Amino acid sequence: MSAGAEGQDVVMSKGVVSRVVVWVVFALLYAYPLFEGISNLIALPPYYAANGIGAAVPWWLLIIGVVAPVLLYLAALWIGRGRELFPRTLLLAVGLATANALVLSAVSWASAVQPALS
Amino acid sequence: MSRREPSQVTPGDDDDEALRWAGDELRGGVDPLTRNRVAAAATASTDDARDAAPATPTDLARTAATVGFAVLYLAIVVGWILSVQITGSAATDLFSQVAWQFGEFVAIISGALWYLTVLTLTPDSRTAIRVGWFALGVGVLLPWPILLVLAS
Repeated sequence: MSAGAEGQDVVMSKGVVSRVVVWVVFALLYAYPLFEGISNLIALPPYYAANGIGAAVPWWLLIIGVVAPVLLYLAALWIGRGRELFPRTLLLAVGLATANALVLSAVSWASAVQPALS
Repeated sequence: MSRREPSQVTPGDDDDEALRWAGDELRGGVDPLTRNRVAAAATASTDDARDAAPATPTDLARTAATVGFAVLYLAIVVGWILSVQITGSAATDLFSQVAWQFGEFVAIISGALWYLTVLTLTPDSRTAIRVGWFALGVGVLLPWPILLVLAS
């Protein structure tokens, strides 16, 4: 009886460990689009201001770039709660792919709406 | 699935005898093995009932939506393949370039991943829920770089 319970504990802790490993690995992978978003948010307004188009900073795109990776990571964790490891991993992978797609979209929108430099 | 109550077990039934223990009746008449099997059978039967409930029109709509969105998502993947040709990173250091390439790669497969995930995680959900997730993905994953180039 006690041996069986111990075995179950080992299985459970193994599940927790692999889950945490997946969380950490994906957190690192999400960090890059987040880093890009933050660096755009920091670098773009001064660049626009220096070129005399400071009023045209596309704040909504910059904010999407920072918020999207964080929200997608949290959403993937939230939707995956109570599921097996594979669906959890799949959801985090979809969120990561979506975050990167959104970053590329935001960058292309930013250059599309950028006024001509004087 | 038919279930034989422990109380209905005939003395001559060797298979059932082998799965029973003396004193089962005292603990409620159901031994752990049988109890688990009953729970599984009960879940399975409600699933059957839920799956069987939607009539043919719903199934048809569901299949049509699944196939239709497959085509849309294929277009999204193609759109992203074209999009990454026209986006580029100004970074020169190796790490940034590798990270950028990785980002472009996952953007390409984002449509396929989203589609497969919805397919995998909504087998028993209502059609509206599946279609909702499909539609959300199309909205979020539009390949804007190539669309903006085509629009201009």
